[in-house]
Amino acid sequence: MLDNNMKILVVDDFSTMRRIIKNILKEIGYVNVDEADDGSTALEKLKGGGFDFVVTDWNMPNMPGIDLLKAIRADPALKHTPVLMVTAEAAKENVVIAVQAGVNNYIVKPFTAAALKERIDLILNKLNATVA
Amino acid sequence: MNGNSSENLIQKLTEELSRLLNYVEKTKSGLGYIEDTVMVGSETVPQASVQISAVTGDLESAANIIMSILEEVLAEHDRNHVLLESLSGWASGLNEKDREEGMAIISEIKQITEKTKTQMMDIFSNMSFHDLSGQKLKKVNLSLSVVQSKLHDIATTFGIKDFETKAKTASPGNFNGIVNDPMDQDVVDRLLKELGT
Repeated sequence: MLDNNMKILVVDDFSTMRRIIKNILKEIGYVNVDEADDGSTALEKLKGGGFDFVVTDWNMPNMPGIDLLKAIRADPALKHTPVLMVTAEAAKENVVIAVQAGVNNYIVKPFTAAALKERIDLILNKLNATVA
Repeated sequence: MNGNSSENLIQKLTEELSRLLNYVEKTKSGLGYIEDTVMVGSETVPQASVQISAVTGDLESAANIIMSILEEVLAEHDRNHVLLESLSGWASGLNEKDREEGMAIISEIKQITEKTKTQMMDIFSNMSFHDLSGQKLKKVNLSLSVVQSKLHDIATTFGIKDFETKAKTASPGNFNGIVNDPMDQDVVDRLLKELGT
């Protein structure tokens, strides 16, 4: 069961964006948050274990968010980790690609604290329902 | 008959050579224009690129300063919340009339606090303008790189010298006279003092 103590990894190449997401997560009750500035750094951290949830950007150097998502889904130890894509890429084809790659939800920047909470709650409720 | 034919041939040749000369002159002036354009581009394109990178950096600094202020104010809000709870506890011990009045005021302050906190979170969310504008500027910079590369190709084709030198020495200042290097206030103050102001 995932709850407010879950450890979240925020992945974005812009430090300001990571700071925004971390503050919003704190405001909605999630304080156990770590960060990474690209997909490959994030993947290393995830392989280290302990993360329950990933919030990732799409456009990043080295490894973009979509490749990180695919890598997570391809790794037997990580494949069940919920991934929320937070991105400026609002084109329909991007959403389709992300869904096909196994994203749990998708939120377009800029977003409000309420919108982020709603998406996280949706993901967690769905996962909890599956577990139950 | 033969004489006329030779004259005609010479006249035709002269006209043809004249047209050819005219064409060569036009081509030469066209090449000169291309060279000028490439040289202007060799300076302005990298300068524009440097300026865009500087804008991204300035936006990031500004965004971080604003967020630091917001974080401090939000922390004060949390303290405010604790104080209001203490105040509620104190007011609950008052007589009925004073308690009702006190609780009404505390409730109003709580509502104001909640509203301003929501508004501050909205400011926080909208600070993502830096990320969004930064991504767009990155795309503009990529387009400028393509233009720069094409200019380089033209410069190589036409053997234009100094292209690399000009491109490499591009600085953020003197961008068509529109944007100059920003000066620190200290520098401005020193300058004003020197100027006797």
